[in-house]
Amino acid sequence: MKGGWGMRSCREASALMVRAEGERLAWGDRLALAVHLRLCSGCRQFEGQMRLMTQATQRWRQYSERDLDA
Amino acid sequence: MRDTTQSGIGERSLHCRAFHRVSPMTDLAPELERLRPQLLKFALLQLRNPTWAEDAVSETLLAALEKPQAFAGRSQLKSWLIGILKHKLVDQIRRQTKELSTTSADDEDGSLEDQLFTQDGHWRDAPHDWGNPEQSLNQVEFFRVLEACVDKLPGQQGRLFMMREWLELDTDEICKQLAITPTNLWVMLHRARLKLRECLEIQWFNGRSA
Repeated sequence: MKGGWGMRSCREASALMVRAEGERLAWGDRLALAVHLRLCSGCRQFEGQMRLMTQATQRWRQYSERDLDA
Repeated sequence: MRDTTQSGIGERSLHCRAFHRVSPMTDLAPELERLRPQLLKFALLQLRNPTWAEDAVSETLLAALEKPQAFAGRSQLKSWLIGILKHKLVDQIRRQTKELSTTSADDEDGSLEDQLFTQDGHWRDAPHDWGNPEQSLNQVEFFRVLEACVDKLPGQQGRLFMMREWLELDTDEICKQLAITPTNLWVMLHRARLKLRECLEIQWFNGRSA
C-alpha cells in the first residue's frame, strides 16, 4: 500500500479511524481513508476490530453497573 | 427501601425519630462494604493512583450514607453507587489537573508506533482475523480480559481511555481536565486503541479464530 493521491499509510489510517469516532473528519481525510480501506485488508481488519472494541466497552460499561454478586 | 418521610413527627418520641433516621443507614452499611472493592476497582482503573481512588470511593460511600433516601425506589444499589462514583471521579480529576498534566510525560511511549509500524507506516504484523468476535461479548471471561488489558494501559493513556469510554466525557472536556491539546489527546487515544487491540488479540482472540 503505497503512493497514490493523498494515500495514507496504515499508521495514519488507523489514527484517522480512531479520530473519526470522536469528530467529523475533513473531507480530504475521509476520502483518503476510504481509498486506503478499499485497498488495504489489514486496515479493514482493524476497522472491524475497532467496532468490536467500541461495542465491547459499551457492554462493559453496562456490566459495571450491574451487581453480579447480588 | 424503607420509607424515611418524617410524617407524624409530633406523635413520635425522640428515640423513635432517631431510630427511623438511622435505620436505613445501618441496613446500607454492610451492603456498601460488600460493593466497596468493586467501586475501588473502577476508581483505580480511572485514576491510576491508589490514594485518589480511595478518596473518591470514600466520598462516594459517605454521600450514599448521608442520603440513603436518594436510593429509595431504585432497583440496583450498585448502579446508583457507580453513578455517584462517576461524579466523584470527575471531581477528583478536576482537583488533580495540575498534577495530571505534569505526570503525563512519564508514559510517553513514542516507540509503540515504531514497534507496530514499519518506517513507511505499514503494519509490521497486520491485525489477525478475530473470527466471530461478537460471540465473545456474551462471555463474562471476555470482560475480565478486557479489564486486565485496560489496566495494562500506561497511566495517562489509561486515564484518557477511561474518561472517554467509561465516564463518557466528551473530548473538549477531557482536554480541559487534563490540560492537554486535542492533537495530544488523539495521539494518546490512538496508542491506547493500538495497545488494547494487541492485548485482546494476544490474550483472547488468538486460538479462537479457527
